Amino acid sequence: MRKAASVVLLVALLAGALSAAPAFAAVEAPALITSAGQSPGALMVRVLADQAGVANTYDTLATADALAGAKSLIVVIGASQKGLGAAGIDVNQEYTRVESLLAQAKAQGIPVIAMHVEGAPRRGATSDDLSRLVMRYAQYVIVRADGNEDGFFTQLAQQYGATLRLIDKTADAAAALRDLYGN
Amino acid sequence: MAKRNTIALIALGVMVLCMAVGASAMPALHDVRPGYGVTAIGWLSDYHPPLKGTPGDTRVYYLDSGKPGATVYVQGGTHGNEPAGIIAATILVERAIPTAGRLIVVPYGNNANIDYNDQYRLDVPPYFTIEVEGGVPRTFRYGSRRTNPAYEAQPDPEVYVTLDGGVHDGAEIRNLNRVHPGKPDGTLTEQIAYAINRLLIEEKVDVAIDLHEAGVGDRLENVLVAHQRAFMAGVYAVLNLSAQGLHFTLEPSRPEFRGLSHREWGDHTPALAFLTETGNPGQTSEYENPDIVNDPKNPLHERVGRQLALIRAVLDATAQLGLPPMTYEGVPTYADLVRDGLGPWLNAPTAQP
Repeated sequence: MRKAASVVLLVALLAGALSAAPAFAAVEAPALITSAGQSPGALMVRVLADQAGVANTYDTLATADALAGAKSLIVVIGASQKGLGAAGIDVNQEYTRVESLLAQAKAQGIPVIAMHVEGAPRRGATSDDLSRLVMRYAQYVIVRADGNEDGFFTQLAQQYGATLRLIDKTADAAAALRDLYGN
Repeated sequence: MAKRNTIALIALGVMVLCMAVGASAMPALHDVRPGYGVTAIGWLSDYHPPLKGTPGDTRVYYLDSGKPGATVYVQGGTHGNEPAGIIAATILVERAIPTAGRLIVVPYGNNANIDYNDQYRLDVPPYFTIEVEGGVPRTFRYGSRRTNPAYEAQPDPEVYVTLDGGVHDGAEIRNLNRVHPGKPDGTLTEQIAYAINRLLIEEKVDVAIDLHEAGVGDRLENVLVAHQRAFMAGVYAVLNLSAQGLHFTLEPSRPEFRGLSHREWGDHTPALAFLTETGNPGQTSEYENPDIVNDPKNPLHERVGRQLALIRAVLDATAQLGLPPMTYEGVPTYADLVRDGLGPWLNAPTAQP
């Protein structure tokens, strides 16, 4: 009887300990958030990361140096001619910068989260080229579903073995980040 | 029913007559039925007297809560063939009851394009009707992108160069959204832009929103353009709309967009400047005989709902970022308009003959 009571107590304590433990964090903060294509999506993700409690630094034109101190890299994909123009760069310069940053993250063992949160209007040849680049390095992918109606991101995620999470609304990315970072 | 048809025919007759004498010097008057929220009605010419008595003059509606808050300017009808903004602005005039701050609404920003048929779409009638309470039709004009050339003293130049050096096709001198901030002694269209600029300054407008439409599937459909000073508010607004299930794409106003409202209002006045677009079947080249009101995929009530939701989201965002609030009641939500259509949200005639 005493033995049975001890087992029950142990199970109860274990269950309590498990419920009190933080959710499993697939990746760690602080995150470096940058853009691939200079659309406003990166700024939206920064706001959502703040809401999700993910410590971050935000630099839409981040280069390899900016990875110092970062434990994860969030690359928000979305080409905007207006954004590229405002940043004073062209798409080739943007591609080179992002590729260099991703290569450095890989060299440092920093996990990469690819995000495409502006949906179908933010697809197109330039965005898709940047997506193919980022997806080669990404371990996790968060995509607004209407940007994946043709299965573009599903296919790339399968090809590169990344974990894909589809969201219905841009705002839902906060919950996806919260889950990913175990907040 | 016969009585209603008679009313509609008379309204149509008056409209056709007005169009036949389109070169009249007086500003067009529209079917706008102000509600209890309207505390004053003025004219755009109050800010630039030479506009008085010209087709470029237009009504300005003031909705003052009498309580502290932001001053917000909403403009429809920059382009007369983009009706969602005109109807969204009309609903604000007819239904909004301000509870903080002040709302200034101009439903027909360029009143001098509303009677112009530029032959862009011969399969879209120059008017449309919306059935309101009791089955009574209300009729609204469907105009043009550019000012009626009959109202301009000079022919279009080969090339139009804006005050700030923007270069456009010559005909764009009659496009209100290429001539901001306008000139006091310029063309009629430039003087309209100048008067709007003066309004924004003299009324100390904090937030200015220009309502537009684009073709269905166009890259501008469901876009919110924000001046750089307004960009963070644009981010919050788009995320807020996203949480409601309304997707808008945010774009920055680029410095080289000279002459456009989101650029020049933001550069030449203290206002946080925004421009939005919804998808109008009437501007969609792939559509034959488009129905701008009852298109099954993009009905007018849905587009107006998006525009009103966006205005609300922008004001929530600017308040969230520290600007004094501008709030109002009585305006339908997106869900209200999807459920009810436009009819119950536009004021019905108070009396019938």
